[in-house]
Amino acid sequence: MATLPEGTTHTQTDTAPPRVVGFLCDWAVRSEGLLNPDDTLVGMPHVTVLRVPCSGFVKPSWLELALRSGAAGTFVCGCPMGDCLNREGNWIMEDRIDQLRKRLSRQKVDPERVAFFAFGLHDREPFLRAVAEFVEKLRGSGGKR
Amino acid sequence: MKGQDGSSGYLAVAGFLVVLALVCVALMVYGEWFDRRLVASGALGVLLVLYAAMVVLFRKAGWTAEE
Amino acid sequence: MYRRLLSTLQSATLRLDTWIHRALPQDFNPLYYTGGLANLFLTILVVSGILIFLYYEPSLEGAYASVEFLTRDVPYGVVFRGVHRYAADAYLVAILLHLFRNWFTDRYREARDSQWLSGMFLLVVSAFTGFTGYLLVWDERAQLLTSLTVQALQSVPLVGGWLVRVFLGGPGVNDTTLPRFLYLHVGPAMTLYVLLWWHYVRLRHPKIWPPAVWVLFSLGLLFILTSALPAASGHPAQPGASPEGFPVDWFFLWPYVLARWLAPGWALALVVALVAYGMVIPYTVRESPEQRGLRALGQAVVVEENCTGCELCYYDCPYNAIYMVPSPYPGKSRAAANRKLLAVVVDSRCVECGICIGACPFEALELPRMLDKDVQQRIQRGARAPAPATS
Repeated sequence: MATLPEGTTHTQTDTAPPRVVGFLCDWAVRSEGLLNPDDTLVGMPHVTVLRVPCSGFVKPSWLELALRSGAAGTFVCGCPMGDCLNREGNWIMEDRIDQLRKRLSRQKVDPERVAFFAFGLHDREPFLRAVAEFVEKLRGSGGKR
Repeated sequence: MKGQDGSSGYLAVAGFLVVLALVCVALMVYGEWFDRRLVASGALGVLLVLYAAMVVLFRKAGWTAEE
Repeated sequence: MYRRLLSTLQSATLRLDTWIHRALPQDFNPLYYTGGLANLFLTILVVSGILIFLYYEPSLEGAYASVEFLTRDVPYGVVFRGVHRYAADAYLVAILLHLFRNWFTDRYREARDSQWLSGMFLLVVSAFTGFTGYLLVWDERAQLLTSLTVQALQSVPLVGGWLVRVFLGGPGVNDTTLPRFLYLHVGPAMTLYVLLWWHYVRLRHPKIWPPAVWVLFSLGLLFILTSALPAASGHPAQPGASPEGFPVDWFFLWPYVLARWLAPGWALALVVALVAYGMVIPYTVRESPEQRGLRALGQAVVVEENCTGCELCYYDCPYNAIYMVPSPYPGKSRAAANRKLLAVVVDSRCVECGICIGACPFEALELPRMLDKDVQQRIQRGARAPAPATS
């Protein structure tokens, strides 16, 4: 597994917000008006969110790719636990992220850079707050691998 | 009981539920002894509901966690 | 307009969840386990039913007396009679919650229509079983229900007379009627398990039981109800009597309440119409793949060159839509060259969720309208910091 390309962490200065790539399942938060056409979050252009049909669709290798390509952090947001439209997608994704975190920490990459959220249709505000907190946390540990 | 850290409120409610549960057990024994079987089964029903309330309380107090 | 109504109902159903989550931890939300609750009550019904069955005598003379004996003289007989009666109501409530929740949250579309149809059959057979249970007591209510049912069946064109003979075991109430009613109660109850097999067959890990807290609460509630409102029979049925009113169990007997205003035949027709509509619900909302957006990215396609037969997709698919077959030829990639098994997607079951794509470590599965390489491009675009402005 490749380590982060040289110089990646150095671009995360205090002035530039940490770039985050996330995945949002279609059944989770209501996404009308949430995203720009280039996948960035309205109001948070440093956060890119790809909408997916189910949180279980996300491959762990995509999360690693996000980190390797220069993102400070990456997340998957699925439905509330117990209410996945496809019954098990969010449990499966949570397991995969646990495994990914363990693998990352063995490679000396901070496992906290991968997050998993579970929000429902009416939880847009809590979702945005969670993303903002995640960004702040990454900013705080910026420079640390 | 593991409830330190300011959760004396939860502890009090748990204690109250335990007392109620013991009352139910007494009622069950009474009901069976004196052939008042509807009393016994009603008390059993309340006991089961108390048990359910206890499970929720323990989770809210943080003494148990999601599986 | 229909779609907007459904959308509003969906939103309201999920809003209910936000309120419930303020009071209860999320994994205790009973609305996530409506099917499990129904199964719980069904199990309670079977157990209490078997206990009642030990004492019940299916005959015109003995039925009422045997139920009275059970209620009055058997220790806790009144309890398991009451539990049986209230569990039946709770069972129907759980089924209806299950029906409405799955309807309003889109869980019946496309390949999930199999669960919907089997569920409708389960509802009909359960309601019928509950209804025949009321007949077994053979009190005045049972007598009135029987005569209303006979009137309704008789008004069915062509086969009305035959239906009445099947129902009563003869042209009128006779000695074989109560054994026939018992058969019409226990027989459908057993078919419920066959229907449940159909209901579960396309699901992996169906949630069959609710969490323990709800098992405890439900059992407790049933015992409390049994004690507070003990189940009791009305006056015994008299041959030739024509009773006027009866205490109504709204869950099972509402078509009979309608008989006050409608001829019984029309009440039956209404029930049949409602059931028929229910059966076609999965086919009433037709949307093009564009309208469905992310929910219709195309059925999963196996990229056979890369499949190594590792079975991870097979185990992760929630709908049993992937089968592993003995590999007919080796794969092209090195990892796939020595495979023993090959994944095959069953088109009639695939709901296009993509969970298999997430499971596969070998790039051997794709959703046609959201390809791996496109996702990777978008990730890289999002991950790269914009070029610093040159000044």
